[in-house]
Amino acid sequence: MRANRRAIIMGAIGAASAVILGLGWYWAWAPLAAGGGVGLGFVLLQWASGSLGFRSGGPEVPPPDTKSETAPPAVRSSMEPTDPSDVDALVERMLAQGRYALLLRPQIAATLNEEQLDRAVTALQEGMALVPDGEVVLGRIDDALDDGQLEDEEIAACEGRVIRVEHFFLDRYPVTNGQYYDFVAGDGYRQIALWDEKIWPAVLDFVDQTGQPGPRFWQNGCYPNGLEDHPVVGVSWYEAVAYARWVGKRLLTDAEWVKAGSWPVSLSPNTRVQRKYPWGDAMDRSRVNLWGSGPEGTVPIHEFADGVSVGGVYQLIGNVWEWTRGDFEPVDPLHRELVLEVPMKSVRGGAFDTYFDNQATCQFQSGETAIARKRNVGFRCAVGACDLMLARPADDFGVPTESQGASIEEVPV
Amino acid sequence: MTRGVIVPLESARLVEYAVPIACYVCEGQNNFDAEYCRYCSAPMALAHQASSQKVFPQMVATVGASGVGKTVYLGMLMDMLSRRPKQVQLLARGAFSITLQQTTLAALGRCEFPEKTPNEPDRWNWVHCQIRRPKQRQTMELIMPDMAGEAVLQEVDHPNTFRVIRAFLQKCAGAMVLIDAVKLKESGQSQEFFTMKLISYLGELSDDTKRGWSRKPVALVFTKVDQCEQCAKDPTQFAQTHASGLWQQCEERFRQYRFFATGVAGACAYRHSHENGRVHVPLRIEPHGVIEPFEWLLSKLGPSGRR
Repeated sequence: MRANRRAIIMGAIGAASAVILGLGWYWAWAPLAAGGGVGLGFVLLQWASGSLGFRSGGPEVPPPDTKSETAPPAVRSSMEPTDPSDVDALVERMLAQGRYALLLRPQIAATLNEEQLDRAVTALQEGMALVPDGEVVLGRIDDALDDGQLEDEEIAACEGRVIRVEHFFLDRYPVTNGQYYDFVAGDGYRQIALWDEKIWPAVLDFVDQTGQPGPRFWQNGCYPNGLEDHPVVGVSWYEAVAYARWVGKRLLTDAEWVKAGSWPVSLSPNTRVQRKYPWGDAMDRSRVNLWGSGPEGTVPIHEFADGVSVGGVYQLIGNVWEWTRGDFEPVDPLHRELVLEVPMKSVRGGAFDTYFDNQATCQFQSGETAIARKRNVGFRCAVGACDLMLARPADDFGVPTESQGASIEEVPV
Repeated sequence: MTRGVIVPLESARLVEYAVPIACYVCEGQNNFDAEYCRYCSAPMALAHQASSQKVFPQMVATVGASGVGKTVYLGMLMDMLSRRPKQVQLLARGAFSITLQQTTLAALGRCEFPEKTPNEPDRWNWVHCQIRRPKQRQTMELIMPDMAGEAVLQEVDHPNTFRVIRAFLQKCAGAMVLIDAVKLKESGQSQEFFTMKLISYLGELSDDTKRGWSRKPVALVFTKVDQCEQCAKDPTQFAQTHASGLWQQCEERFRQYRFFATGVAGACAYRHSHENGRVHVPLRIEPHGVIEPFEWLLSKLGPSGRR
């Protein structure tokens, strides 16, 4: 177990370093070099909380106008200013902003006290579901799934691919307007380290109806009143990626998305059970918000609870399409090659206006250009289990060595 | 087109043959057992149904250039209206009226657009349907054919080429004129010119100021707006900006008209086909603005006639 834990932590350090040092090398290390006496954990925490973020030009985000129809009901506690030197306050703020995954990165988690770490882990358990490792079949295999089982011959006939996925945590719900508001109001659009370099010129164009940074259908930097717990829409793939980085997560791969929904199980080396929909093999429109089964718009993320996946993930099918990390695979259902005028990113799951059942399955993939900001496309985030530190070394808390080696198996799902 | 059959020499049968049946569209006299009108090729089932059900269905045209999306629009409209329980509902009259819906939905479900409608009128899909509206006791009977765009273009350019089109448009109570928003924006004025020709043609069909097209409702529907967000946002403004000639002509010729925007595909790609060249492929189906033009048109139509 000790070796297992060490492997997890070392893996997390590697992964987190790639993200944090790759994106924030200059901003994180320059103050460290200058200050000399400041601890690395604190600097990383400051970087993560945005206090060391790069400031670009652009209009100021005004404080929420509580009289406006588009304003959230009140200023969220997560946006209250904190003293940059107050680590506890920074941690509190990040927990309030839902950035627990960032706190659980090994580099930062090592600086937290026991109570803070517990709270971060609790937040992780509440907000995310653990998807176990294993194999998943990807491809146009829906017809072969009619009996729920997949033989190797069927996979080959459908040109399906078997892909192995490692343990990962997945948001139980799509990212909401309320959550995304924290990112917008927390200057997420100005922290250039969060954005892919090639998209920098376009970031200033990612504005709402009033020209403020934010999702396309917001106004004055705020979501429409009453939609706080609806999925955020009108965000491009790049905005989704930037948000995911801001909260210490990432977008899912296509294989991860399909695995979370179809929850495959290997019955034998040649036979698998893989669901067509998160609840089984037949469409049941009472479980999903698709065309004709909902209000012809988004619904709050807690609704349609009967459509929850085996792992406890809501609304994988319906409500909004979800950006994934991968590219759209340009082939039609008959495996004929398609030509795209511009490359597309993959979206999955169908939305409130999806018409056909067979276009809202776990396997169905559609595409959208990465800068498209559509009314029916949102996203959710994931984080690799190996990228997080879920328990401190026992010695640090003065508990017996036997309890060391907290592994993902010990985390309640 | 008349189907040849061997009929036993019975007096009752001979009487049926002695009484001709008038085509519902062109009013040409046909034999009792003709499947299609010998003059205009409209299905004689329309006349038989009107006669047996004692109603005179109104006719609504869906016209536009070739490839504008008439088949997709009509097929999708039928399917959407037949799946909504508490709103405007459509009930197909006769099995032949479901063929359009069936072929269109089968294609879209496979992420393909339906095949191009052939030019021959006897191969067009005709829809005879009953419309039920909430809070209104009286139902409406409508006939809506899916006419080939190229045939419409030929008739507009060379009147009387297709008798069925002329006869049908003369009898129509209203029309939905489809315009490709993407072509209008990107490929110059060919779409606008065709639509202007069509509107001009309609205007010349009848000089009757009380019953002519100037008083009939016309919905001008921009299609494929999933690829033209500017049009989706404000179709009237889009028309004024990108089709000012068309907009002006509508102002002059019609008393009841309105611009709409519709889209059926969420995103599109294309593939190369040996037979058809570059073929557009819908990546997913997300209908928007399909029902609104039709509902507006219904609100402007009077009740169906009765015998």
